[in-house]
Amino acid sequence: MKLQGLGILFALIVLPVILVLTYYIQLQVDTINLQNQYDTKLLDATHDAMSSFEINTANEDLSTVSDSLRTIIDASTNVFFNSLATNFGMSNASKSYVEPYVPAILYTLYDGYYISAPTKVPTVLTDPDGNAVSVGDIGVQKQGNDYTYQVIHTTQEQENNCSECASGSSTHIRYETYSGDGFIWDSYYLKYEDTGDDYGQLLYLKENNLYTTNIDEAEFKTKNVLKTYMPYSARYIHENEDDRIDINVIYTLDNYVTIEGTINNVYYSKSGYLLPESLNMDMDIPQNIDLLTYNQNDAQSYIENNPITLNLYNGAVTGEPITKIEVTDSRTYNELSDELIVNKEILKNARNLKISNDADSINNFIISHEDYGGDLDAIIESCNNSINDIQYQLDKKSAIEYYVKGKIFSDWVYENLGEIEERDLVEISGQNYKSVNGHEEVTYNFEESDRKIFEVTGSTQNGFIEIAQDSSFYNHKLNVIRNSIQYNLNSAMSTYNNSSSRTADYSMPVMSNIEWEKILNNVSIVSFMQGVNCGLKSYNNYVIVSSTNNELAIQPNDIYYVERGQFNDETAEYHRIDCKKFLENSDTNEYIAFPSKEVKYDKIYDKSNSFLPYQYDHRNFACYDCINDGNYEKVNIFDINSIDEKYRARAIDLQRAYYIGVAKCKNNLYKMNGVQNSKGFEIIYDSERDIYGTSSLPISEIKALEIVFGTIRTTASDDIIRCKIEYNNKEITEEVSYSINANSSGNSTIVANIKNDFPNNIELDWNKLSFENDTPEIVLVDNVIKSRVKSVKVIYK
Amino acid sequence: MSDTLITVIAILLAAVLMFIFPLLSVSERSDDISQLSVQTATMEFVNNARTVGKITMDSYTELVSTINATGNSFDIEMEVKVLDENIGKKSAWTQGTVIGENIYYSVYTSQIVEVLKEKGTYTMKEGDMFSASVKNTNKTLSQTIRGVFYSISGNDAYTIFAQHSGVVTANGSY
Repeated sequence: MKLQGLGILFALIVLPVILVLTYYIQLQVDTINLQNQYDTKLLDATHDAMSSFEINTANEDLSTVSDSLRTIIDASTNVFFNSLATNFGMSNASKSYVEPYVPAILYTLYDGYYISAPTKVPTVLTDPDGNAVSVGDIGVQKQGNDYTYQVIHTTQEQENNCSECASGSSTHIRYETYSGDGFIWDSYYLKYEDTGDDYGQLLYLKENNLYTTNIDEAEFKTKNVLKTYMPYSARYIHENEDDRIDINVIYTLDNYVTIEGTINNVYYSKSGYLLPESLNMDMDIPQNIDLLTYNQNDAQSYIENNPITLNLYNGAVTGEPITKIEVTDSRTYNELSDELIVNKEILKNARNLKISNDADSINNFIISHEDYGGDLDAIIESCNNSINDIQYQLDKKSAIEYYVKGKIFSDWVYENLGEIEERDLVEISGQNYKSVNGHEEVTYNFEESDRKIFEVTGSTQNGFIEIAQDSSFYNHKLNVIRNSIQYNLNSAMSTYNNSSSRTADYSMPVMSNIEWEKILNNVSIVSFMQGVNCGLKSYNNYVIVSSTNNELAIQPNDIYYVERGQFNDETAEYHRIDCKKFLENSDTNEYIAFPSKEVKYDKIYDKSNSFLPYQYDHRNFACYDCINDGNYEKVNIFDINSIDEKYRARAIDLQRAYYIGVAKCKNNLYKMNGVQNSKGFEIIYDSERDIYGTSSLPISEIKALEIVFGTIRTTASDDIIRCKIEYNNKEITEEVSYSINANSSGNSTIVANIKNDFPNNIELDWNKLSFENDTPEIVLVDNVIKSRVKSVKVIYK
Repeated sequence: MSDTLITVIAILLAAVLMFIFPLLSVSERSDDISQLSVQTATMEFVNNARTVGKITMDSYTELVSTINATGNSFDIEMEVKVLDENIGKKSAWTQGTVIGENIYYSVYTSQIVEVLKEKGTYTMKEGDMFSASVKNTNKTLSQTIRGVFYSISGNDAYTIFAQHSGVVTANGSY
């Protein structure tokens, strides 16, 4: 063959190869580009969802209450789909197009998580007002003998015109509809169906506009449903010769823990912050009492109502404390709060007047507030000073509450639950752990581990008040939460996969440890998108967006500080605790702290305020070093030796600011799953169940007795008698006697608090309790109150 | 005589068709593949930085090594638009019915890299914006071959280019 021929042959072979290769590579490039675009769209939509969540929680007073939280999350998912649809170039009305591609959205919150996932649900028949229609309602007619019904939609007017409704016919009704001129143009026969078992049942949509009460026949449609709230909880059963512990522990993103269950015979329900075992404290209080032996709520009310000084120690209570929090103000918490509101109102009015420039009103205002100073500026300054002072007192009270309550709770936990090991775990979020472990691969095998779950030692970075990130407790908590989320998310996705008619395969991706760390440290949203056509392949990815500015959780890193005198001063800056500029330039030893979300979402719109409808309630400047630009010079205020000698005293003040700030922010959080009144209880006497006994714990551990009385008869009617309760002939209760309604047909219950100084370390014995009539003028019919006692419940601290 | 001329032209044409054109085409594909990996690396770099709220030396080095593995040299430009809410807040106080707008100020590559070298991490906060663009600075093989036929001059003579940007979604932990 000639050279030319070979050349042509070469060209003929090579050219198509090159063309195909070009085309293929171009397709690959397009695919990757498209995938990148989808990643970005998904991330942006998830970020929008998070923004919506943050804004809604910040501006809604009840955002932490579960029902309200549900609506906020529903709104957030809505925003996610709207944003995703818009990002995909569709109108947000067509978001239903993208919905099937999102097998799940996970919201990890403070003490539990929500999964929003498409689920097949039957359509329940509702009337135009949204109320469910059931068998027996007007317009519901049976079709044949099975569960099928036909529904004739009636209006209120038609029902009002129903001529035989009024005559009371229960089976056969005739109503007529009138046209405008009174001419009857149509009439129907309707029945109230007397259908036995079906009566009152909901009606589900079946095909051909028919309805059924049998859910198996109903037509199911895919809808995005927010599943029930799953707490981060685990149940443990620990048994040995002496003890039996069966408790359920609800964890949170931080060190707050809720415990419910029985230890031996006593049922406990307690919530509190777990503090490191090494953190100790003593208090200077006028009365000679030991607050740490109190019940958490009693300690709280004492702190709220009395001046108190708290010293915190790392280790033994000797030598120099790590910090000292002093409340000398004798005003109670409520008085301070009320005064704060009054001052804020005066301040608002003064500011408005300043802008209004209305001389008459200003004069009147100054006269009516002459205590505050002679002119507007003086009033504003004086209000600002009072507000800062009150806020600081409130913060300190809150912080002391945090430490004292935390200590009471932690001591109880370490003493009673210190022996529980990881292998005692039986359930995670209500799911039997063994059954999960038998069928699925779990991320962490609890069955073989003898690590103690309430072991909190480890190294901490910021002071001594936090539980170490590398402690057993922390690791265990993360493993519990992770297992729970993984199991439920996986099942939500596979359920959708099994019921989905699409060809795409939905499955739970494997997330890396770093990603889990991110999810479990903050309130986060994880959104999954799978099955979208994406060039040569099918798109499959997920995105995690964490929140740092929300109402539900506090991270110590996201707390800002400002000098006390400069709080809300529009010329002063707020800082992070470790900002060098802050350390070197501040000239006070008192600071006010607030969480970052307060400045992030602090725009207030006050419709009633015609002068300044839009306001910021945090007027301080963000520091350009540490807040605006995060790349600032940091100082570790807890490492005193690394700090220049002339700033060391200031660093110790800042440490106190940190201890107060973190404690106050955490204490003021609303906890959804928290127990309001931490206590334990045990029934020592029940006449109906033949329980006569003694309490398991000594009297010093008892907070109160809850006593139920049956009918106590007196010679007169409608009497109220006073009953005196004694133990071994000594006064045991706080009050001398308690009121009981005599001659009432029902039971009456009293709760008698045990004296804090009742000096007894023995168990409470039912036989030694005596009940005396303290109202001599009233004569009892059978004269023995004790025989009327139905039950006695011991309430422990 | 004319036969010889035609043969010479044919040989030249054949050379172009048989060698230079396939070479050009293959080198362009090679650039496409480079483009692919540079695009992916840039996007991963930016998305990672904006979801965790910080640019780390590790991720920056990873980006550099991934794109350098394509055999070209690159210029990486980064920009952080730092959100400054102070100005918006302060300007609101002059009139009561308006709420201030947020303002951004920019930090560029050299400043970011300086911080990275010094501290290992460049921290950003929620609401900041981060963007990065990468383009080749050398002449790739396809550019050289194309240069034989026609030349493109000027600063923007690059064939591999990737850029990505977005809002930072979380405060960088520090």
